[in-house]
Amino acid sequence: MCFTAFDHVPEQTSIFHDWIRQDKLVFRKKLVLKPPRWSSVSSIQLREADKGVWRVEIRDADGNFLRILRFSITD
Amino acid sequence: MPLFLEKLLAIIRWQDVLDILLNSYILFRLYIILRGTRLFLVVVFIFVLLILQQIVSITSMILTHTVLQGIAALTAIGVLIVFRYEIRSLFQAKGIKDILWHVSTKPIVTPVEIIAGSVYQLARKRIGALIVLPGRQPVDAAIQNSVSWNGEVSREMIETIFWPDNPVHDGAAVIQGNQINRVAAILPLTERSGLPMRFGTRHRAAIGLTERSDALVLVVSEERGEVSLAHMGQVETVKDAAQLEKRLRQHTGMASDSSRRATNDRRSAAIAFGLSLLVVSSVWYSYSLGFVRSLTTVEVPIEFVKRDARLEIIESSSTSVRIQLSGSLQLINRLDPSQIKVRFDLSKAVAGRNSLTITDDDIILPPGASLKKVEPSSIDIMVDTIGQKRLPVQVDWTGTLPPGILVESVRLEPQTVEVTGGQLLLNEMDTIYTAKVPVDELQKSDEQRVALALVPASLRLAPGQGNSILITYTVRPRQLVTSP
Repeated sequence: MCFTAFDHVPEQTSIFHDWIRQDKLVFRKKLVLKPPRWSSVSSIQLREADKGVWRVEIRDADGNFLRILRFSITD
Repeated sequence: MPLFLEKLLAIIRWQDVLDILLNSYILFRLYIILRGTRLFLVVVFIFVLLILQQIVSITSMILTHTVLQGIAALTAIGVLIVFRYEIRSLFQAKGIKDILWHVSTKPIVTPVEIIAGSVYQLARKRIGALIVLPGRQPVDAAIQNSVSWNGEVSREMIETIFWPDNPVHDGAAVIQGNQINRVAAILPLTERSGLPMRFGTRHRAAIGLTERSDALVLVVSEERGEVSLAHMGQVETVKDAAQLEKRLRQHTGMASDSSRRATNDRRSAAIAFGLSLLVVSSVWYSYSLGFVRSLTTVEVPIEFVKRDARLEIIESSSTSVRIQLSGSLQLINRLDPSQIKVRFDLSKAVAGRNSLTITDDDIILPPGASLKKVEPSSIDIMVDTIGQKRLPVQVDWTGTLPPGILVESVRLEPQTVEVTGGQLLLNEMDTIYTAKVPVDELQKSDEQRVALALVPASLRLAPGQGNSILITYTVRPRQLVTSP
């Protein structure tokens, strides 16, 4: 699960959560942000074969990086 | 340098030279031992048969090949049966020295004095006799019903043969060299009319044989005690032993100078050895470079040449090719795979995927070998320009974290690294990972150094960049939330 919270959202917009495993985009979630503050969450169902290195890239509506979260799925 | 000589020098070894010399000598010795015998012609026949067999084998004439094989086998058996006495006497008469290296320059001398003396002794005793001395032409076909004798010529032997009470006294004795080969031989009678009345059956037989060959026949008349000599169908009376000796010397070739004869013998032996060398070399050459061919398959690594220094081969569908070669038996047996090269010219390669078809020009083969098949016939390579990119490092954790432990923070030093590789590849890369780091033993906060996993192998760290990352991690006990 990837939780993102935004304080002071001037107008309605959208963001993307890109779930990437070993440099391959596995899942993209578009989330809507509404003024004045907004929290959003995305999640994926993991399987045994999904072990390995992951990252979630959080981008704005124009594709700009906002944040990147790196983690590993282990046993 | 002629092409065949170039090919020859490329494959010949010292063992081959020895091989040729040894077999030439064996062939030469066979000639020396068998020359002048009936076996010689049979051996030549078998040799010709073997050559024919090779030719039909090369031309894939299966039926003829089988028939020739049968004939060769039958001939070999026939030779052993028919010529068993000749073969036995050959080995009995010759010592190991004669068989291995002795070249006799001393001819077998026909004892003309003994023959002439014996003939006049028989004439004086009025004992009839008929003696054949063959010339260059064989007389076997003209002679019938003879008895094999094989005894050395001596006065006593000749007189014994023609002694009237001897069962073999009727008929002719055949003398070859210093041997009486056959006795009681029936010679063909002449069909000429108008011969003198004094000529009996012996004279008619002597004329008959000399009409059919270049033999010289001596006739002793028992009625008149006269010695006559028949040659080329003509008969003449010989008055004394000295004249007969002279005629016999002329006929047997002994009139010529003995030193010149020895020189001729040495020359003919040298020619025979030269011919043996030529025959064996030809056979060896045909086996090595020509007629007898073989196939082989070799796995050869691919070499890429003339590559632009800015380009990098990222990926290749194959790193080696299987090459099927055809060549002479000897060449294929001795083939060194390092002599075969597969070189691709990458001067025209462009960044991205390139499909290359393997042509004959890309393959370097040893002299004498020819290409039959290449697998695969084309390869795909991915070529890329070299570029650099700074990438963030991420730890590749693996295993199972101990229960009750939580990894609170992880810090990497350095956090990013500069890597070099194909630009297309780098465009697709956003992160570089460490080698796998097990989490099973993370009991307390600590640090450890791990290597980077450079995948694919064409990826390299930029110069001056160390290939290890220091991981500093903080762990703490997991807090269990309990309900009040």
